Amino acid sequence: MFVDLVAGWETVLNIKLILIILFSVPLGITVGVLPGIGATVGVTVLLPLTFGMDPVLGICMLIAVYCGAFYGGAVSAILINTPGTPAAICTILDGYPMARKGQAHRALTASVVASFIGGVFSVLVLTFCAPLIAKVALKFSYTEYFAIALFGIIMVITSSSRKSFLKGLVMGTFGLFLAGVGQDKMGTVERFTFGILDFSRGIPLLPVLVGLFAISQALLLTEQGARKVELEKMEQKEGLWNVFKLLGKFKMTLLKSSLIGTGVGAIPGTGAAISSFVAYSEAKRASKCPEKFGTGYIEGVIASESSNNSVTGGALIPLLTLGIPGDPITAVMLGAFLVHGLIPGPMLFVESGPFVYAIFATMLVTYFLVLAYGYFGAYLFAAILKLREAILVPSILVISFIGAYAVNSSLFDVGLALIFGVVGYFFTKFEFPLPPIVMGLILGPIAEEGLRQSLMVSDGSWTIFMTKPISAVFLLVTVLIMAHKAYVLLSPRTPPDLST
Amino acid sequence: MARDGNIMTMEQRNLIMGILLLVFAISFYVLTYQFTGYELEEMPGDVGPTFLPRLMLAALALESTFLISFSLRKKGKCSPDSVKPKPVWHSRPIIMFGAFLVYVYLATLFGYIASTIAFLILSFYLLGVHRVWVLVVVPPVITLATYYLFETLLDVCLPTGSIF
Repeated sequence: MFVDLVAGWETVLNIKLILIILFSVPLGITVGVLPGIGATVGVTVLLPLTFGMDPVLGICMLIAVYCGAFYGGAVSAILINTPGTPAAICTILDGYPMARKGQAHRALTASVVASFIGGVFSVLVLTFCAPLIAKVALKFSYTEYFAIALFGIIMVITSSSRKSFLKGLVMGTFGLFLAGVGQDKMGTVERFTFGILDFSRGIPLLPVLVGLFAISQALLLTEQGARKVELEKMEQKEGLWNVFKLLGKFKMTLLKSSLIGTGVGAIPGTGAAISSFVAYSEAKRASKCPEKFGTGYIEGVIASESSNNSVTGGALIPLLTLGIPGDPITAVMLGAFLVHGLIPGPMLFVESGPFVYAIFATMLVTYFLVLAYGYFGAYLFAAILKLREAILVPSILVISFIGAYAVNSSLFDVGLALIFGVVGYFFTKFEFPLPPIVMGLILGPIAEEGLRQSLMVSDGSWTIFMTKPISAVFLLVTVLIMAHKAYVLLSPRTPPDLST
Repeated sequence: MARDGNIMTMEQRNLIMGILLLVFAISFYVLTYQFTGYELEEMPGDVGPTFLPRLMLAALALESTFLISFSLRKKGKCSPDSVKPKPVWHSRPIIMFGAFLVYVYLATLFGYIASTIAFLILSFYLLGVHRVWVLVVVPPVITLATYYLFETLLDVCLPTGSIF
């Protein structure tokens, strides 16, 4: 581990990579700042930039964008009362009232310092926990992978379907169906290929991501028309050191929120918005002045921002150790790994240890840069909020086209991206969540292979999933969640309004 | 914005989506009987390559039926969604998507640079940018910057056509 750690830092302390990170962090903050873009769309749109790069440089660039975007959401939350990313939803509660009181700069400085502390905390946890989990995961068989994949899908359906579990379930099932398209991995049976050779290798992930997250989002943005942005002024400047000292008073809130963020992030299907809500509620409950929360109290901003940024490290734990993404952003990251020929999972730690530690080191460097850019560039990022959709939407579409085309120089992939763009647009209009489709598409092959291989090992006996403790626990939790949701949905006391 | 869209309540949308998904699931379920290729039948215990697609399509059909049934049961009853029907689509995204479709086609015919400049000018104009200097300066700058970044710096192949 120590040798890999040193090798990882050696990789990062390279002028080319440092320059890339220096360029990527503001790019990430920018996509986070812009409401309607956010981390998922941002990373998807910027993915094509990495195609020509060395895999280490490309992945580290996206990692820097990913971490930067999580902080960026706070800028718009504080200055225009609109979260740039869902993760910053709780930052509004106290950040915007602070800005209304003339403390916009103080709120922004507190948010960047809290983001920095939360982010660094999660990277340290990731650095020391991920290799241990990967070591355990090396012993996992197909049975465990089947159970974890199923659990991951259900968790994403549950978390992304707050308005209607049934709609989320429909989308997850649709995603799993899409995963079945193409040549059967354990034979040569062609499934729904309609004689089209490109379909034989299955539905490629990247055009689906570009279509669902970038093209559909660009189309939705065109509906909104010109947005009138009124920024809160930043007249009273706050020193960075003063804020650090101020945060010292809330060290327990910082620690608890960072722990909550990292822990919640590590559970597939949860995400930064949930962690932010949990940390904010906990900070309010434990505070000496809970009545001040929601009125422009700095502790609220600290709790929300430290927890949502600490999700970044937590969310990478299942991706890197098991190869299972926990949310749409890590699903896009998985797509990036695959495009560069890297397969996340326990073997990545064995075969490419220095690379894994280079990711951790990049995250650490990124958070120091987030602190610097966030503090000194607050005015610049605020100005980005005035960028018009009229310029943004066509630019997203052009980059989406490049993203879909460039991997295989294939118009088939562009066609798929266009189809999924329309599908994503209408599903969003009909209030069907999109993340379960992507999760189904990614985890479907893992689940299918796990199921078939396990049954072959057990000679067709389904009890194999219950005889192994890890798979039994994951399957039991999955069944309990499903049973609870089905009960609520079909309960005669609940009106059938699809709101379960 | 609402007047140029197709107004529908959420129940109507769920009903339409439920019917579409049900038809989709049944049609594709039938197609699972036409899979071709060599199957590893000799492996004991294997559920086979048709198991997952059939299971998912059956589940999709069942879920769609629930969606239809719930929508029909709620139809006519007062709910916040029913009170405020919203437009399903707007003209601007459709025009934008049409322009994007034409752009993708033209990019393969005339190449990335020419088609991207044309697409950006048209879409900026459609989305409300009418200042001449913006229309003249910004599209070529974005196009050339992305071309230089991807093709020259990052070695990413972009479509080439008859112009450039």
